[in-house]
Amino acid sequence: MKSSGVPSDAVQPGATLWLGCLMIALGGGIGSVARAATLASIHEHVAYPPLFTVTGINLLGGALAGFLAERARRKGRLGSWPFALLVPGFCGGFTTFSSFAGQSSRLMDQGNWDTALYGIGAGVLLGLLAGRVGSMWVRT
Amino acid sequence: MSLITMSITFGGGAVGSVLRHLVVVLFAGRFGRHAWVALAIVNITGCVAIGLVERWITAGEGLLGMSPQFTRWTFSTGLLGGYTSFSALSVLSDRLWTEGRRWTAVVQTMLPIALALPAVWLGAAVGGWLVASFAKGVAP
Repeated sequence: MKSSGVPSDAVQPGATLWLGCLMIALGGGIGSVARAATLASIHEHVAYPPLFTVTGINLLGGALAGFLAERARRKGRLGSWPFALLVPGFCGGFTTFSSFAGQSSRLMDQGNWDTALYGIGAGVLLGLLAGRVGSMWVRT
Repeated sequence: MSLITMSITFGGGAVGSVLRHLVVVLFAGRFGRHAWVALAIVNITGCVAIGLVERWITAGEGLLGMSPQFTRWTFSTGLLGGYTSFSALSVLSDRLWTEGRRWTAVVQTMLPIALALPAVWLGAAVGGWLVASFAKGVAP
């Protein structure tokens, strides 16, 4: 299978399309449940906007994906199936872009523009830096 | 989270993650050096879809015969949460930046973020129109 040119979403050469998809489905399903369970368990006890929890999830998932993708690229220590399971699978399913935008929009609809803008700014900056921190961990 | 909500979130997340991978593989080859556009397409279309689904749910409607709450777990949390990905955006930005393609890294980061909220609002507007049309259609 050809590499897609999008590192974190590409199954590494060697995996067949179907096996790659199976691993991504398994990882993506587990990642989505982990995200939903994290949100549900935290917001049972606290009342702050879910946007900040989504940001924390994106931060963790971005750092883990950055670490694993760089490790696979530099050291080749991650096979194609574990890569598919963990990077586009688990990390892709655990983090979310649509919920991040949806939660921001909901806050704006409720008139909480300040909170939404702070949340978007922090979410974008920290979420993007997370991938860099994860990959730099491997480089050092 | 009950076993049923975990199962439908898992199913939605698995399907969404595979869909993301297939869209990326399909489009990345067409864009060549600008393969990052494939991920932008995924994240922006996911935002349109979540705006539509959430508007539909807010009107007290469900999809495929499901209750609004189950529709949210299946489609918003599972399918669209798994379809869109922040970790892929984070890792790709880091990779482009490291390769010295810094303007591309900035554009690929800022484009989906700038379009995220308008995409949610577009989806919500279409959802509102569909809800109104549906209400007119079923009214005696």
